[in-house]
Amino acid sequence: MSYQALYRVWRPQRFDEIVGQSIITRTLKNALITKQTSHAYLFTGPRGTGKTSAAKIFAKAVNCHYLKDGEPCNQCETCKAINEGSLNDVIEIDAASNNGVEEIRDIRDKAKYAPTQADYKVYIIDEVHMLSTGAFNALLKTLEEPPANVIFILATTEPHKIPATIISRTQKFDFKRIKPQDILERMEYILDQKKVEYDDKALKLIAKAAEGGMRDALSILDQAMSYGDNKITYENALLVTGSVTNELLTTYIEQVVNKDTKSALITIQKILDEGKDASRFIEDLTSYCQDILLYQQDPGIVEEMELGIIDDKFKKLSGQISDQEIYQIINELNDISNSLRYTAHPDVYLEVLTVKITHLDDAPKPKAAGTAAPQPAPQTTVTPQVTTEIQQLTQEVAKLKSELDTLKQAPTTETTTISTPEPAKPSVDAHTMDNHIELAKIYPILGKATRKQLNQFKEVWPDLMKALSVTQRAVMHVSSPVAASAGGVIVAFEYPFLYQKAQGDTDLKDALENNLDRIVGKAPQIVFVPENQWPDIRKEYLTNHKDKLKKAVSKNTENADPKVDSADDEPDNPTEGDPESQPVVKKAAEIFGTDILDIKDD
Amino acid sequence: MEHDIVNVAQTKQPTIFAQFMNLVKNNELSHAYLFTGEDGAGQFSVAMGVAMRLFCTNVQNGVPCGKCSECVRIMNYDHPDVVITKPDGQSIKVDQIRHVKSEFTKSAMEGSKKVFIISEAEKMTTGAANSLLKFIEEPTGNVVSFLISKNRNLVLPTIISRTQVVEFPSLSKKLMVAELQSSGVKPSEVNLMISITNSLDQIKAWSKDDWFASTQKLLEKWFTYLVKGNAMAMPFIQMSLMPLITNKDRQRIVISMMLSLFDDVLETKYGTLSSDRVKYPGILAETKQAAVEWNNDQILAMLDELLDMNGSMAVNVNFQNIIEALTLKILAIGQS
Repeated sequence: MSYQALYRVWRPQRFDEIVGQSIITRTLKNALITKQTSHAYLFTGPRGTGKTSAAKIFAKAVNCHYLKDGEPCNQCETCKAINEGSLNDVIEIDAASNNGVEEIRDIRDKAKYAPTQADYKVYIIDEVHMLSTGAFNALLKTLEEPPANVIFILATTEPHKIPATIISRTQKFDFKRIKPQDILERMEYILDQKKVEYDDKALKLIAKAAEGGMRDALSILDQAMSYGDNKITYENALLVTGSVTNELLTTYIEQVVNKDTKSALITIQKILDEGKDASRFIEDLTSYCQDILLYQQDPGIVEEMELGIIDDKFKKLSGQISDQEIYQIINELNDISNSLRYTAHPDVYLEVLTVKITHLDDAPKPKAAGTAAPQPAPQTTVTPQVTTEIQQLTQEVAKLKSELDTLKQAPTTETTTISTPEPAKPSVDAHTMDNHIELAKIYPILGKATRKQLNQFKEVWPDLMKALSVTQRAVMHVSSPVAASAGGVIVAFEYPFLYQKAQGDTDLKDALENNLDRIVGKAPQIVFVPENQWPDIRKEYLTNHKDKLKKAVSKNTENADPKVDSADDEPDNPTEGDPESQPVVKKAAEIFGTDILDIKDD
Repeated sequence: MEHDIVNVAQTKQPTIFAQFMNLVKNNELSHAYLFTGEDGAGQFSVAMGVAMRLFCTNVQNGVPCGKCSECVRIMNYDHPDVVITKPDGQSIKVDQIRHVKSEFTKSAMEGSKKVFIISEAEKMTTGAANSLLKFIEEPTGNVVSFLISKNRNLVLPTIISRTQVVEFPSLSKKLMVAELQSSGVKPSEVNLMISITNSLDQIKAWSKDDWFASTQKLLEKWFTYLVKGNAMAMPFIQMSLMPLITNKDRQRIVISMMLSLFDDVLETKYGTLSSDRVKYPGILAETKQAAVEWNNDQILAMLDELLDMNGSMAVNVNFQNIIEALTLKILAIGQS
């Protein structure tokens, strides 16, 4: 007899020996004891979790006359015959190679005949997801009401490929991935039986690499055994699983955290030169990052998952690195692992990855990079930066308050007919030959103006022009929308006389509004302005409404005051150093769009 | 070439080969193996070597002799009990696997054992791969199967879990450099060739005509234009580069060569490029200049574009379009 792989020698022969699926095995045993077995079962679950084994054991158990607590005896004639695969009534079919309607018809026809030797005829259809649609449907009727004493057991790794009509006719059992701890115990048991020496660490590594599949674990174990003359050492386990050693991983992450691009690149080269699989490396790296993330939340989970392999460096690293950084790294790793599947240049991908993750902080938050790396800023204490900011802010608040007072007095002298305080009107009037510019209409529009709206109008502007009559088009020819909100649009004219003409032409306005309604589905208010005055109006609006905007500022800062000692508020506060975050500028950017905004500090 | 299979296996993968010889000796050979690793890392030779070891009538020092009739027949793919399957065109079809399976069910013709070698196993169609599952899991009789695949991720996980996976490390660079130089490949090309493939045979085929060398020269010129931000890089493709790229294989090689070129830049930027690894020694000055002029983000953006080319190739975008677009993008990135 030639050598047999461990997973074949140690295939479970009793329900008790199936590891990690106690719920399923207990259910099956109870069904057997109470004689409530169904005629069709569907076993699903990842590879190596015991589906085929359970099916075989079940086939034995229903036919065994010496059933003990639902377990087959493995001694009687039938049990032995099934173990050898020589019993005619237990039929194992590989659906992947017998996937046609023809083969299923054959099953259907033969199922009619009574079992010859045993009590039940058991069909085990493995890899059942490979059956063709026709085959599945041919099976439906038989599966629903099979002849007496026939049992079907379907097994598959891909339950989503099974038609719902099949699933509803069967009792479905979901086999779960086996926990590393369970795999570990089983391997220890097997090795003890075989009297093979082993290294604890090596077994833990294998248990982890198996990813919940017992057969994977035993295959790897087998291989590690043949590598090391019947001794399982950590080095052999590393070699067989192709894992990158934890040490290398730790060094690499350390270098990444320290932003040491050069050494990280050298580490990568070293790993690749050793012939390690790039995607395996990415996998290992991802799970390492995952461990760090989990460890930061609850050290207990990681210790259990990693089966206790945690070194001091890991603990130090998990204290050093922020979760944001980890998220970013994991994102990059995900992107890469997808691309890696189809490339012949893993080395370049890994190098690009390395450079990317060692430069992570630069891109999203350039200001924080200086303080955040390599050690994240402590969260609770007030850094000098924050205190100076607070000082600046309180000064600003005082200044703003005094300005506010003066402004409050101002409107009383220059009241306007319309809602918003508007000292600007006279000044505008002064140099607009007596054109009455409808500021009353303009300000509300400006108040709600957004760049997005404006862009929308700009887009439809040519269409709108085409819809006008020739004379109207001639008037509007030199016009363009300059600001817009949901309720209105401001149109500027290049030449004042055309503006006057348009202003007096109610037909034109009607036509514009009607056409806009047709094109964009709403009829905004249309306000005309001469283009040479537009900048003034805009400026006027901004200065007049400064007090409003500033109120917003002072509110912000006052709110922040009571809890200045928590650094959390920091991002909310506008900072002097960054002009773009000042509310006035923000508002301006909102109205005119950032692309035309030129911020001058004066 | 056929007669040095054992030799090739021994030089390329001494440890793995010795390991397998040992397994055969102790009769511990499992029934299914999956060999993974880059092209030319000697997977096929090792598999053949093991087959020969199993059948050889005149084993010397635990290694097959390579001279007896059994060995010779295996090397000539003539042995009835050694079934070798290679992809027929783009994939291994279910029909081919049917043949394999019918062989699986028959007992050995001459001896007591059978050997199956399926190379490029990742090219099996899903149907083919699935129908192999049961046979690989519990073959009847004394059977050994070897699946060979470039990329373990492309093989069905259910197959992987039924086999013992042996990862073949890439050949050590030194070994290859030494061998290539002794076989008369120009030193200036060696590093570039190694960065593109691991297969010595392929490299030897390249060095037969001067295609590789002249392409390398042209790419150097192309890159010189790029570094200077000279838009000549664009017409240069049409005028000089395209006439050389005559088939799909060469397109892939050119993409790889371009990647290696920018890899040089990246490594120069971070000072990890040791002088004996430089892939384009002819334009050292330009790569250095590029590393100084382009910042980190620019180089990364360029590499991203380069890596994207494979995707465009896969969906059959015209090759000239691909590299012209690339050139324009790189020029734009370089100037931004």
